[in-house]
Amino acid sequence: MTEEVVATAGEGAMEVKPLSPWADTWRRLKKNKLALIGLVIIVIFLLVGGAQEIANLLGPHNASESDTAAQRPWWQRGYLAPYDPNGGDFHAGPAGPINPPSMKHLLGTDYLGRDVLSRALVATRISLLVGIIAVGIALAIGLSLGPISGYYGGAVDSVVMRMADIFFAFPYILFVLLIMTVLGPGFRNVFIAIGILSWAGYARLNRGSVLSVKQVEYIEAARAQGASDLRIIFRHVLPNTMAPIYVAIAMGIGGAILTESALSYLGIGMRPPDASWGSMITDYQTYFFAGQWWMLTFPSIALVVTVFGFISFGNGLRDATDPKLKE
Amino acid sequence: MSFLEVRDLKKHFPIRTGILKRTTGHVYAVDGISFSIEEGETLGIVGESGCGKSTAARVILRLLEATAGSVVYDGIDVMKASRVEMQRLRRDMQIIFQDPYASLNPRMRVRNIIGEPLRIHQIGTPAERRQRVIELLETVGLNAEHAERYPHEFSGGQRQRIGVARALALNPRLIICDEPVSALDVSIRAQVINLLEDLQDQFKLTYVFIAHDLSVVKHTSDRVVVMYLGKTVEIASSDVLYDRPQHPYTEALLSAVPIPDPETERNRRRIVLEGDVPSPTKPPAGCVFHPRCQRAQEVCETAMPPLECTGDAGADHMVACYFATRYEGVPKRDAPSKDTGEAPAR
Amino acid sequence: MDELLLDVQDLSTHFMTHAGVVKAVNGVSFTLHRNETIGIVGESGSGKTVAALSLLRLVPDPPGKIVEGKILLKGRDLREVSNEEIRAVRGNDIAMIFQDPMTSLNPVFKVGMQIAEAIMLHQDKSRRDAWRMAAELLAKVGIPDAESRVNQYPFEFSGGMRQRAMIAMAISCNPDILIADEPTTALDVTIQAQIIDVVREMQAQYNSGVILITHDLGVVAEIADKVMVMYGGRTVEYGPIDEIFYNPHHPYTWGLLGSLPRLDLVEKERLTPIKGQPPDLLMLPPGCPFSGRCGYERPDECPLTMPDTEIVGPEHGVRCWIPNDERVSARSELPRFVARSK
Repeated sequence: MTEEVVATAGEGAMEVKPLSPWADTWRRLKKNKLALIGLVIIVIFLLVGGAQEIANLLGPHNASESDTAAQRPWWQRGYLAPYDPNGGDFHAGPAGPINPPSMKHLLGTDYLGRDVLSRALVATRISLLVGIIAVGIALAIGLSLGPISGYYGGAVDSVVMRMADIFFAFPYILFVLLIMTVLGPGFRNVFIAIGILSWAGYARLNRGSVLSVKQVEYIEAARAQGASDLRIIFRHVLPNTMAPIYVAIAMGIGGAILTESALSYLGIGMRPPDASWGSMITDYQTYFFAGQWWMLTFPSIALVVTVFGFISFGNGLRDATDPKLKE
Repeated sequence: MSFLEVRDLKKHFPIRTGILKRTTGHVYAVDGISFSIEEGETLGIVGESGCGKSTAARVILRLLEATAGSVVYDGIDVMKASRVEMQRLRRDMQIIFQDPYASLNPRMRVRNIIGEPLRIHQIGTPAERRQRVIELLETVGLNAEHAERYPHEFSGGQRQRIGVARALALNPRLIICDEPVSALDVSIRAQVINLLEDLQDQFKLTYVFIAHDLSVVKHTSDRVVVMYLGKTVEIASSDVLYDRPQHPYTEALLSAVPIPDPETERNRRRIVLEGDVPSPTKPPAGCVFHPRCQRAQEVCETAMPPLECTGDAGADHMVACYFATRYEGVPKRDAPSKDTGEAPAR
Repeated sequence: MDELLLDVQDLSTHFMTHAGVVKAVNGVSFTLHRNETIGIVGESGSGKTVAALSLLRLVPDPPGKIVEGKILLKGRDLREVSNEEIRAVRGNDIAMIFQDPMTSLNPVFKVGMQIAEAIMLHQDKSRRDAWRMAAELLAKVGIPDAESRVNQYPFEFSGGMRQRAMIAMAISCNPDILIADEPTTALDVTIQAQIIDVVREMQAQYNSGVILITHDLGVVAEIADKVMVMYGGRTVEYGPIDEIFYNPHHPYTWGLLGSLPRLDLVEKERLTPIKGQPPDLLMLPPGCPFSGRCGYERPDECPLTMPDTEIVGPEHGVRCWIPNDERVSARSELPRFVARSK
């Protein structure tokens, strides 16, 4: 009797594998040129910013940093930087410290003789770290509270959502400034501030998906098997609600980078002499009007291009995962 | 002592409206049903939408908390079982769902879907579990290589088989099949029905088979419970139910089922019910069926008739009707010869 | 025989998808006369719904396209007419009822409005007249209290009533042909019976032809005069209803009839399922799409070329390579067909 059953079912099992949801998303994404450009920008950004980690992975024998590099604080050790970003040289060139781009200093030097390229590279690393860690903190909070709130509903849901509402109600930048003022400026505090204020968006986004997913039958199946609530939430519900979250992450990293730049611009983020795109913009803006354009231009372009890349990719990802969008 | 005894089970869902979420009414999804199930039998539950059969299934398994009533299994009232007892009970009572596309987690591989119950109850080592998953796949007619795939790579019928394998993982004694073939193509339904029957023989399973398709229920079930608007209106063995229906709703239901035989269809006398099924939020007073019933009289508006046996249509044939059809003196029709398989003249 | 309303010849509709060409409908032909009901039977992937949509040129283009065939409505080829003309046909000469009554009615418009709109579109009636006719139609399809119901929104209607409203909309312009695409699948069985009665009555009143698309052979047995069985985009068998049920010639038809649990038979026989899975439309063989599940296939013929239609009874055709006498004897060994005399 089981032979008939075997003969009946095993045959004709799909020979052409239908596209998995990811493969289908990628296919649709490929059609969106802007999103692909964004993806390329992101990849470059990740490579540049993460150069030190990559170099470490490749092995210590590749390290050939100068002594001064080894003395820098860890977030300053951008491996790719040809010069010490904080090491000024008043005789960097014939005109003194400030020099336009040349073969020796590809992006020129600033008013302290520091190599602009090195500073820009280190700043990339800062932005990368801020983006990832800040969003990471926001996700850790948001993706714990969101699913729990959505799954249990009732009082828990009300409390969490009201808390989220409170966080939404405050003007973002002002609150970030407030927290930074309380915590004090500095690298670590930047991503705590951004992270803590961003969790509500992820939580609410996720809660919406959770509300619809928790009604689906495979969740009931898990309960019928005796799965604990925690298992159901984090093993069944959460993985199936991640699609819009990925989009939010891409946008979120872009936003975090922008916020950090704003903070550094205002002098509340990175403290001098640490290099960050925002602080570089603050420092160099007066020189721009004196005709020494290279100091301001490159960090500005880097900032704009990076944020644009994340947002384009995020948009493209959102379109590609939207089942109702006609191709 | 029956294998499973359901007594006066009720499930009412409160309707909460307004800002303050006050309870303005109830959905009387299940409103006092009682029946028993013997070990090894297949009990069919049939009824149309809104009758409460799917809700009843979930309450029996305690996926929903009952409003009142009891479900006694193995001496324990499932409704009152402790957490620990419930975990043990879950191993004995499993469920197969209707929608093959929604009942499997799309992000999990088949081996994890089937193996999860084993992991939850901490049965066996990982190697043993892997082996068991392959065993189960083969039992339902799939192969070991299917274990690494994801649900979207399978057809509806195959996914339903995966659902069956998952239900079998813990060696249950009772499986509730909630419309297991309704969402499948006609040519695949027979495969899955046969599979379920084979598994019942092989593993000595007891089934509760819920469906709205009477033909399927009659084929698979030993006894059938007919539900309407949260109540049981008739319970009989499946042959007798077709042969000697007593409740007017059952009669209407039977006559409404299209039969794939043009000759029979042409000669049929059809009872077409007027109107729609009332909403379970406002069940009619008295007998829930009386507004649509051709036999309804004054007494039917007063109280719901009790479910009892009239004696003339079979020893365990129960019906809830003041004017149930009587079969005194009507000889049971002979089973027609296998050759002609003729329909009875009705 | 009544007037010939529809003559479909060799209809083929293909979909160009990123994964390949899907031949949803592949050389399908049938006719429909006045007062006649044809049941188009098939499962998922059979192409029955796409065939119906093709008649009204409702197949989304891209990715779908009617690549071949003639659709002759009282002599006029609907493939050739302009867009305006086909719009005039839709709802007017040929009307369609869809499967899911929940989503086929626009939730933001009153039911009366939706019917009246169809009337005003095709007939020269004033708004007031159209609304009056809408109320009459609702009463005609058996909706109680039609006068007040006509002012209600779809959410106030139950499933069965919505389906009746759809039928009312469909018949509002006295169509010659009514296409019902799985009209009862989403409904309870007692409501199903009501709807089938309504369709039957409307057909009698308006003398229309009905194309009933379904997978439910019971419903077909109830109201169809003739049947066309489709599989994998092809017609595999067609014929008058008694011929199909009592003298089926295609192994797929046998499979369908043999795999149905029967309410009216006493003995509990084991069902005979069709083995295998429904067809993958991207991987159809050039020949018969049923080869592989058939059980009787000839490996060097069946998957390679599609057989022509062979006439096996009065107006009864089948497309199968197995010779007639072999087929009859194979069928006589199947449990369901033992000694079925007719």
